[in-house]
This record gives sequence, C-alpha cells and structure tokens, in this order.
Amino acid sequence: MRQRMDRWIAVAIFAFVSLVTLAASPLQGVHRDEAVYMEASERYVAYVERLLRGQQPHPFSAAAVDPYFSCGAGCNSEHPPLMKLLFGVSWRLFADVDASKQNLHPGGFARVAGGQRSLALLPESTAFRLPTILLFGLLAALVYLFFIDALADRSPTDRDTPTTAGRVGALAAALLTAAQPRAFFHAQTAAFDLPAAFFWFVCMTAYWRALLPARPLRAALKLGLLYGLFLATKLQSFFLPVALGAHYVWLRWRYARVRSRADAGDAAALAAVPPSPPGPWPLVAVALVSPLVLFVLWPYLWHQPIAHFKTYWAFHANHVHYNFEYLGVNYNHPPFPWHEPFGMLITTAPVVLLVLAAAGIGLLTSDAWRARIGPPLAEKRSTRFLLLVCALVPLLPFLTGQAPIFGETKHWLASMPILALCAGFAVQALGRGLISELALGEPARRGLRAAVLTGLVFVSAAPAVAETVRSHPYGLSHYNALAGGAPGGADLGMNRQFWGYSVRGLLEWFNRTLPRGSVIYPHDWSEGAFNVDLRDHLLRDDLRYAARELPGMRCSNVALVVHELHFNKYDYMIWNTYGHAQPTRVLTLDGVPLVSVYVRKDPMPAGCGR
Amino acid sequence: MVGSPVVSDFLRRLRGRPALVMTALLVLLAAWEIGQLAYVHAAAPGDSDWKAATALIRAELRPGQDLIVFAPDWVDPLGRKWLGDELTLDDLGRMDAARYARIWEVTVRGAEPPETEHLGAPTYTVHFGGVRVRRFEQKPAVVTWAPQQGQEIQEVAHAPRRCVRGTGRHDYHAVSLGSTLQVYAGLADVWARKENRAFARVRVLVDGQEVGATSVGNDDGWKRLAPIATTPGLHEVSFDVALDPERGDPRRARLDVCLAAEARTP
Repeated sequence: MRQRMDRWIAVAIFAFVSLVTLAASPLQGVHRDEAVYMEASERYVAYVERLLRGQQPHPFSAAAVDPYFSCGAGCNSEHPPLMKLLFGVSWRLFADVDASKQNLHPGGFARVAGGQRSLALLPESTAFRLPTILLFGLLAALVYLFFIDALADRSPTDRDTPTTAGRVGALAAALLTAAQPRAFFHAQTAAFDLPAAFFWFVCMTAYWRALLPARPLRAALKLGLLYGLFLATKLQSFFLPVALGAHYVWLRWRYARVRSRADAGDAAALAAVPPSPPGPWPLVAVALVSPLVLFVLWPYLWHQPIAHFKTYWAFHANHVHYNFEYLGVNYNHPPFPWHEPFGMLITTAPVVLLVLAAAGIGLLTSDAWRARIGPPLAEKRSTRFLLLVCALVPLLPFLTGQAPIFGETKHWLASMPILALCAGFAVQALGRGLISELALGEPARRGLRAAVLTGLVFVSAAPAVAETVRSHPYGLSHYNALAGGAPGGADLGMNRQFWGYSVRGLLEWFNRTLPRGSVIYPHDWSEGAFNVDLRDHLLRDDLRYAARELPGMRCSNVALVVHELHFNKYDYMIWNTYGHAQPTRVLTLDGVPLVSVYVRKDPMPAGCGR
Repeated sequence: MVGSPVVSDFLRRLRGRPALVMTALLVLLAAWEIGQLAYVHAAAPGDSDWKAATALIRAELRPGQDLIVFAPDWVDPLGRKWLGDELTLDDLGRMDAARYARIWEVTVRGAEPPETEHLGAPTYTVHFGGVRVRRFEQKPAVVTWAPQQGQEIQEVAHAPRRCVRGTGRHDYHAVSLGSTLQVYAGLADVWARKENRAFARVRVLVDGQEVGATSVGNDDGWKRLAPIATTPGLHEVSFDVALDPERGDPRRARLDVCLAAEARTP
C-alpha cells in the first residue's frame, strides 16, 4: 500500500523532527525525575557492560543483579527498565564525560573511571535524552505512514497509491504530532512519558496490521514483542489491552451482526461478511508473549518476581497525590474535577490542532460524508473505532476524579498523535476540495497545485510550530493562544510548572553573578539535576547545594523558589529566614514568574559549615 | 459595504466552494493564533515599565502610612523584585489593609486586588506600558493592639499572614481595646491541609465572655469574623482554639490554626 516515496518522506520526517528536538534539548533544564532516571541508567548500563565483558562471575544471581536493579531509590525499581537501559547505552556511547567529576556520579558507576572512552559527541544530559528524542522523530514518521495506510485517499486508477491530498493530510498529521508544546517538552527528557505515547501508538498500529495479515501468527507475535517493550517502558501499558480488547469485542459484535443478516438472506450483508470472524491471535500474543519480554528485560523481576512485581504495582496503586493548580484551586487529594484532562487539553494544545482535529472527527464520524467519499480503505478493521478507543482510554482514569496521579497532560500524551491523525484527515479533505474547486487536477496546473497544497500544509502547521517555539524551553508553563499564553494560563489559575527544571534559565546568571562559594537553597531543583548541570559544565564548580527545607534555607546565602501555587509557602519561609522579601532576580515567561532568587543580606548564622 | 456588488460577487463565487471557504477560515485562524502569541509576548511589561512605575511610587511613598499591593497574585514576585524594599514583612503579612491611609495598586492585565475593590475611584491612575499604577485613599483604622506582632509569617490559603498559631487557649491580659475587635482565622501550611479533614472552632472571649466564634476548615481560606464591638480600655482577651467535633472528620485532624486580630478605633 505504501510507495517508496512515502517511506522516504517518513525518513525525512524522522530526521527533521529528531534533529530539531536534539538541537533544542540543551536549553531545557534537567527535571527532578530525569535526574533519578539518569542515575539508574548509569547503574543499568554498568551491569550490561560488565555482563558483556564477562566481568560478572554469576551474572544472573541475585548478588550480581541487586546492586544495579534492586538497591532502593538509586535503582528506581518503581519503573520498568527499557528506557533507562537505552538512556544508559546512549550515555555510554555518546556522552562527553569529564573524568574530573567522578564524585558527582552514582557511586562506582562512572564509566570514565577505568579509562574507558566514549565517542564524546554530546553533553551528558543530551546523551541520556537521545533515545527519547529519536522515538519522538520515529513517532512523527509512523504517524505519517499510518495515515497513508489507514486514512489516505487512494488514486482512482491505482488503489495502492495515495493521492496528493492524502499525502498532504499525512504530512500535516506528522507535523502536528511533533509541533505540540507539551509533547515537545517531554520529547527532550530522559523520562518515560513520550516513550509511553510512542509505544501506545506503535502497538495500536501493530494490532491494526495484525487484524488483516498475510501471516497472522507472525503479525501477532510482532505485536506481542512490541507490547512487551511497552510493558517494559511505563505503567500506562496496562491500559492498552482495555482499548484493544474493546475494539476486538466490537469487531466480533459487528461480524456477528452481519453474519446473522447474511444468514437471513440479506444480499448486501452476504457480500460484505468476511469468511470468518477476526482471530484472537493479537490479543493472545499480548497476553502470553509480552510478559515474557518484560521479564527478560527487567532483572529486578528475575528474583522474587511476584513479590517484586507486587511492589512495583503497589507503588503506583498507592501513589502520593501531587499538588496541582487547576482553575485557581490547588488540588492535592481526591476528588479531583473530572473535566481537568479536557481543560488542560483545550488550554495547552495548539488551537489549530484542536480545530482541525474537531473537524476531522466530524468528518470521520459523519455517515453522510462517508457515503460521499466512500469508506476509508481500512474500514474492514473498524479503524475509526480503534482510533476512538485508543484516544479515549488514556484519558479515562483521570475522568474518575480519583486517579492517584492527577495533573498534567503527560499521562494521556498517547491520545495526541490520534488527534493529529484526525486533524490530518481534515487537511486531506481540504486538499481534496481545493484540487476539485480550483481545478488543480489538470496536468497544466501542477505547479499551482503544489503551491496551494504546500500553503495548506503551512497554514495547518505554522501556528502549532509557533506555539511550540514560543514554549521552549519552558514547555510546562506554556498555555495556548486560546488561554492567552502563559499570562492567560496564570490568570486562569492553571498549573505553572513542575519538576523544578526551569532553574536551567538561571544558570548563566548564577555563574556570572553569585559570589564564590555561594550556598544555594535549591527548593524544587533536585540535587541530581544540580549534579548533572555541574557535570555538563553549565554551573560553576564552587557553587554549593544546600540541604532541603528549613535547615538548608538557614544555612544558605542564595535561595530559590520555583513558583507553583502550593510552593508560595517557601517564599514566606525565606522571608522569615532572610528577613526581607525582595527577590534579586525573577525568571519569567512572557511576564509570568517561574523562579525567584533571593540573596541573603546578612551573614549566615553561626554553625553553618561552609 | 456588505451589499456592494464587489462583495456580493465575491460571496457568490464562494458559494459551492466549501473547501475554499474553510481554507480561508483556516488561514484566519492561523493568523489569529500566531498574532495572539506575538501580542502576548509583546504586551508583557518590560523592565522599563516596571522601573518607571517604581520611580513614581518611590517618589511619593509615605513609609508607615502607605501600602503597595500587586495584582494579579501571580505577578507578586515581580512586584516585590522592584518594590520589595519598600515593603516590610508586617506589610506583607498584614491581616487586612484597614490600617493604611493610602494604597498603591500596581497591576498588570487590568487586574484588581481585593484591597482596593471597595474603595471607589482612585485618586489617580498612571500607565507605564503594561503596568498600571493607581493610588487609593481611605480613612485608616488606628490599631491599639495586635497579638500577632513579632510572629513569623505563615502560609494561609497560599498567602502570607502574620499570626498566632496553634490550638489551645491564647490569653492576653490588660489589652488596650478600641471600639472594634477584628479577628481573622485560617488553617496554615499546605502540607498540613493536605492531610487534614477536620475543622477548628475558634472562640473569641473578652473579659471571659464569648463575643465571637467561627469554624474554619481547609477551604475557608483567610476567614474574617464579624467585627466585634468593644468598649475602649484595658480588657482580658482570649482566643480558644479547639477541634470542632461537629464538622469534617475529627479523626483526620491536622490543624495548624493561624489567627490574627486587631483592636481598632475607626
């Protein structure tokens, strides 16, 4: 169904999105969770390297595995290992590691210790982030290809060839997948949210392909392997079988309905009914193959697998409720407002994406329109229903108002490529209509057609690109044009940010301004992130990280407050401690404060070691 | 214009061309979205706006009599960056703004703070780019006693308050009361409120007689009690703060009660 040209376009999309994201990444600060994952990544890759070099006498024993995968917070066993393994491998291959900063790595795991070399192509933080960046590029490319296969109009003379309008729609879908401020932010992190969205989409497409395969078992096995990788990525994977299962039940119900009508002598039904109902092999593979993949990839499960899996599950089932400001209220325990995912969606996604996606959903669901344009090529697989359930299921836990982790868009990032597909469908319809209304199908008007369709892609994607460019490197503080940008979001009382990453915007000022040996009360800037910034030479070596909370504040001479509504308390603690309330510097996005920096005017109290 | 032949002809040509119409709307949407982002960026007040506003206020400020407030709440860190040295911690942790003769209101995006919304017309208004400065005047209350003086500032409803903390009885002897006793109460500390599901009962006693009471929970914010009429002179004043057994879930109490009072002569 795909042409070679489409594969090349997909490669170009992958390369373009990956390179842009890679170039943007160094400006975005390391967030609190990233720093934890980076530390775990170093441990994991150290294990793999020792295993490959034959340096582990009994490599699969608990004694060999536990120091790397089951050692408490540093091993991060509350999240599966796949991305951390990839982060570690990327870091090991590409990071420019400063041998003089051994003490800032997790104990005993700095690879430079033994004189081992890497290619030293990237700063350490960027090297850790590279796998996510590449998956983001791959996601955009796969959105393009899936659109071509599932939703693109076909040439009337060659059913294997997508029309130009189809390609325009696919290209718009790919660009709108990448040009989303929140997705772009998560794509630049060594974390799991964007990879989870990637695997959700990949598994959805693999399931879709497995429904009508030439070799059903092979296709199902491929899905099982991919879903195993998803299981090894993040917890959201547990929700995918709900979506796929619902779709499979729908397919069986639809088959049974057509079959009964055919049996009753309905000629149209007789012509349409498939020879057999859809086979269960994709779901069987999900149930049987993927757990094995998870087990093989996660050494934490190799010993006491049931107990360790229970620990993993319990961590998330009993997860602490975070503070999250929404419409002016700080929520930190249930019940949460059911509409929060939708409120965040319409205030953070590019408006052009929302409008085009709404139009695309309308077109996809309109029987009248379907009758006019003919069913999409892949209708036998109920593609539209699959898109619907796969877009909705990531949101469902947050509509209950009871989900343990409440808040940002990252937990349902998987819905966004599907919205982009719908938007692409609307762009395709516009392209088709323009070709018809302006008579651009004639060979003599090929140049004009190219110009019009290029312009169509441009107006579809440019506002989303503008939103994304404007958001960088503070993507979690960005609100869209509908909300009125960052100030509009602040007026609405929406969450300002989280994870403490925005301190990155102050590092140059710290280096230029702070007296030698300054002790910084970090507030929400994690020590791990501070250490990575030191390792990347973004921060002067003489600056010191104070302890947490009031003891650290008392023994500091510079204090930060990362602004979120529930963190106002830390402003007041600093006022009480420093005796004044005047920040020396306030980092802002379009006039909205992100981080305040206070400088102590009197000496540190006695008893504070320097 | 709408009825002109050119427009009519244009509209007639568009009829039957839905894709062209929708594309034109898409172009308008794109232009609006990009323009809106550019406008928001350009409209954010710059340093020169803040400097000019600061210079004006510094030139006319009467320390001890004037209060500076910022709005919306989220712009407060920027306001303090420019004018924080003109604000004492007493100003910032104030119970309310009744004791100030003049209030300087520094705002962006047309916001109006609660301190000035009841004060009628400002004595003057000046705009410096995106920063608006207005001055309001009022008859200040004379404060004869405030038990929270010297206490640390606490967070109540995400705002700073100097207050007396804790459950139990707070007794004050030979207090110089005016004609009114104004009391506020709230629950301090966002982390305590996260765990708390209970309410606190606050009773105000003058010379042993209950003259005011309220119940405060997580969502009550900084709760203003009805003003209490008092007889000027020396009195015994007590605040009795205890778990309210009739509201919320007393088994899940983590009450960090914060209260402030001012004895005033209007």
